[in-house]
Amino acid sequence: MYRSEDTEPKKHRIRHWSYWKTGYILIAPVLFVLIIVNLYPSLYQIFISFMSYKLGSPISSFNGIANYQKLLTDVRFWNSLVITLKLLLYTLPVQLVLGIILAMLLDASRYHKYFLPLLVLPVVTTPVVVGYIFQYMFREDYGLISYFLRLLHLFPGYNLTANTGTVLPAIAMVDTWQWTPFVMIVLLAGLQSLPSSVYEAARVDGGSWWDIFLKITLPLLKSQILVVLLFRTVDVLRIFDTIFALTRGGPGTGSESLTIYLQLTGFRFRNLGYAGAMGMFLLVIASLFTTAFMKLAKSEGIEEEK
Amino acid sequence: MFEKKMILMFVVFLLLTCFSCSAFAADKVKVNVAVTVGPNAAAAQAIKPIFEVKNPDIEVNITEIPWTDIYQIQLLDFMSKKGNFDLVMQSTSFFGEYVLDGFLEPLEEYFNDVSLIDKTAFNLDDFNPNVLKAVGSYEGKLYALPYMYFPQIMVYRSDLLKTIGWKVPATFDEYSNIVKKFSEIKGIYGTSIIGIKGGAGGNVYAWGPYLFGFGGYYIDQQGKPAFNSPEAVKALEYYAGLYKYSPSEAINMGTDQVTSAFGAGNVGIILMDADNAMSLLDPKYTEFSDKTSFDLVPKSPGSEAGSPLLGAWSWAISKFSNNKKAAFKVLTAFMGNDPEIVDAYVKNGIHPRLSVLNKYSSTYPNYALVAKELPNTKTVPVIPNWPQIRNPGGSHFQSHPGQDEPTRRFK
Amino acid sequence: MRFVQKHRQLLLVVILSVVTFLFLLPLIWAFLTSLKLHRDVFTFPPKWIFTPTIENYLYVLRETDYLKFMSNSIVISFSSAAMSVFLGALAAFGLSRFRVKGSKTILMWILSLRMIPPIAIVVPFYLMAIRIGLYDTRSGLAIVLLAINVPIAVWLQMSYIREIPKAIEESAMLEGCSPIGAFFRVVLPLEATGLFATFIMCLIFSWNEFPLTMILTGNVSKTLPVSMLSWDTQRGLQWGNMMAASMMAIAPILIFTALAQKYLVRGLTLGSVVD
Repeated sequence: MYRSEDTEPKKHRIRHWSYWKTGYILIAPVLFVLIIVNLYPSLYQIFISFMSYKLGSPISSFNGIANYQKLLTDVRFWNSLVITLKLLLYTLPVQLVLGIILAMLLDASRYHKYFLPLLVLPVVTTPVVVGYIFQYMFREDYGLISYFLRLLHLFPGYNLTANTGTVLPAIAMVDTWQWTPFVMIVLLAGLQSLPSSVYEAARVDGGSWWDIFLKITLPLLKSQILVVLLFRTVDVLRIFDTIFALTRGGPGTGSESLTIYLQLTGFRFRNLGYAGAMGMFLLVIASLFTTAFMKLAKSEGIEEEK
Repeated sequence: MFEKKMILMFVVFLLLTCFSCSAFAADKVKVNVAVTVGPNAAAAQAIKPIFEVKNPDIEVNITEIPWTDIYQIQLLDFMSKKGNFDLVMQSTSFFGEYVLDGFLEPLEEYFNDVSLIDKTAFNLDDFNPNVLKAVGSYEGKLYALPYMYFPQIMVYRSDLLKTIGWKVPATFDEYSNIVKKFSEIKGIYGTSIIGIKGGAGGNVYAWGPYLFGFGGYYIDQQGKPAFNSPEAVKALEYYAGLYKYSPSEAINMGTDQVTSAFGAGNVGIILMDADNAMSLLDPKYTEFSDKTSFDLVPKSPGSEAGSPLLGAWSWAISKFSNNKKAAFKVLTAFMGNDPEIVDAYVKNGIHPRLSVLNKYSSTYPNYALVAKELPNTKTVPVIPNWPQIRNPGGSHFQSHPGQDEPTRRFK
Repeated sequence: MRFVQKHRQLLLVVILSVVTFLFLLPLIWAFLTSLKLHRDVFTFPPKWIFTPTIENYLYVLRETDYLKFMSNSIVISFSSAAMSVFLGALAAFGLSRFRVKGSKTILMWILSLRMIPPIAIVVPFYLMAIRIGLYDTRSGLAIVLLAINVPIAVWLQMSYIREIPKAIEESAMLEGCSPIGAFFRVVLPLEATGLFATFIMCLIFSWNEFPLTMILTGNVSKTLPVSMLSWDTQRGLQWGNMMAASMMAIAPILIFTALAQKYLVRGLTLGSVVD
């Protein structure tokens, strides 16, 4: 959370009019860019969402709230919302737990700086490429994942993305592979900033390892955990690239997330007005989540910004 | 003075960005054509050098686009009105939509322009009239020329058939028996269905020969979707039944991927578009080329012959093209009479013209089959709301087989 | 006791090596596949030992427009990142050192750009691009990508500028520098690390961007991630070629990361977590 500091300079000599003006001059270019790439598109988006607008023809007519009404009754839309929420449910806890474990392992190791550069590679790999690499690895007959699952007798050995029951866990798995390192490095940064004196005091008091973890480590990591949750939530809400490359929303509508359905509606079914309404809905969800996390951070008295 | 410096830097950055949009000068007329990846592109690439030698003033620039994306990419281009594509490609499933929205240029006046075409050499009657109607004209006006046919044919591994000692299946019952038998061979899937959502290249089209074989059709006489008619349900159940003997990822595979799965030697017998099937005879594409054989699609219990779905890709001139005349030259030359071009074409796909089809029947087995099949083929309905019917239909039965778990090859 | 400690470190190294290997496995596997001949790809069980070949890479370079897409990617992401860093530095300086009315709101507005899904506003972007004639141009895309980069640029650089003691620029100003002069002469040089870190982060984000790029580029300005789509076809199952293309598409990113690994935590969390 940004808390504006007292930026007033103490020296009276430099507090003249041009000094005040400077701040506005400095932020003007960014404001200009923001208006072009955010304010105007957002307003336009709201406008479109009230229109009946088919891609390829001129904006035809005011549609009232028909697009929003359609959202309420569109089964496929609700299905895609459920899928998006399910993905959140499958990914967040797993990534958090795995991330904490890995961060603690790294923190305990003296040689963590040799592992870190390698471990963060998944985070920066282009998501579309990740999708295709995993599409290859999920293949039933020559894919590596199916091969391992078969070796472990864990699964009948079919392509996990080919079944409506397993496609979401499979996508969650890809997401976990890509983003657990992110959770890990953030939490590691938190762990390393903790003063070691706290631990020593706790150890002297005779607390068990688990006690120390629950009562000291976790509370101290709270701000980092919140940051991670916030970023992961908004990123899962906008997951698109991976699913697009992996299954394109199939089988059936089994992995059709909100974003995939939005793209389909706008640019396949050419219903831009309806896609606009869907985009507004997505915006609202994303901002709800963001505000909720921010509120939480505030109530915990955490200052994200150091 | 530092303000000045700042402004200067800002300008430099803006300029940097502007430089990045490079302008290229061209002295030749450049005709940009969109084709789908696969046989369509292969044929176009083979003809391009021949055409450019004969027409030194025209440069053909081929853009290969996957069939899954070509609709959207062309649509975005139409919207931009830039005419990045001079020739656009459409399948039966969205041709009508393009025409209705005025994206395509009517061809009539070009055909009447003697400077552009020798009418005696290019005979429109040489195209199958049904196809010309389905993918070329709308309400009697000609907008596009068929570029390639893709009715399905049966593709099977003759070596495997010899191993089990059965004869080539002629009915759907025999077909499914063979599929079962093939899947008992280690390392082989009996068949592979095409499961991915979509028209040309996807499940709605691939299901066609099964649907027609069981006596159904996509829509009823009132033009309403008929996916629930008893015949269609039977055909769907049959199709879903085949999924048990397919690779599990078949549910997300289109004709392209199924073709290459067959080429990898994992699949016993499939119904495949005749143009895609052609690459399976190419020893450079697959090491099983000499073990691959073609035959007619199975016939339904009561009928004389099987009826495949006659899909076709067609080419039209974009309304927004800047070089319409040159584009027309390309369009007619690629499907024209020039023996060299025809020769390059037929090595890569199914030529849209009847005379060529008949002429090469003795050379290429799939040409012979397509020529034989043509009278029995059916096309998809040419109705404006077909895409709206097609997509939910595609989803519907992509999820249908998804509920059956394939029997596994590796136990 | 010392022995146990030594043992523990060894154990940790073993565990971490296994974990690292598992996380790298998909990338390693893709790399190995890119070196395989077609016949080595379709085998069961998967082959680990084979004769490597660079044929796939040659194929991608020769038969596709790979170099064109690569140059598009480079031009677009570099120019967009450079613009964002410059604009972001100005704004970050202005917001953290001067009293600006509504600065809190502006900051939250900027942050919200990072939070909204880009696909949610792709429709207006697309219509705008067409209207101004920026559809399918590199400059158009570079500008649109500012929407992705500006939040990173502003928030990240703010966290760096805050670390610079205010006294330094104040003394510069007392010596007669204008505030903006102080920014260029004193703050920017001190913030060099921040500039570099921000540039790399923006580069990574613009390089990887897919949904907006897919809609806003046609044939002319197609970037590498978007060009990956065309492998999903009949040739697509030529996994060797496809993986060669993938490897070349992510190689630059991996290099950027190697350069900026130190700044990654801070960059990815927009400066809210400091290493």
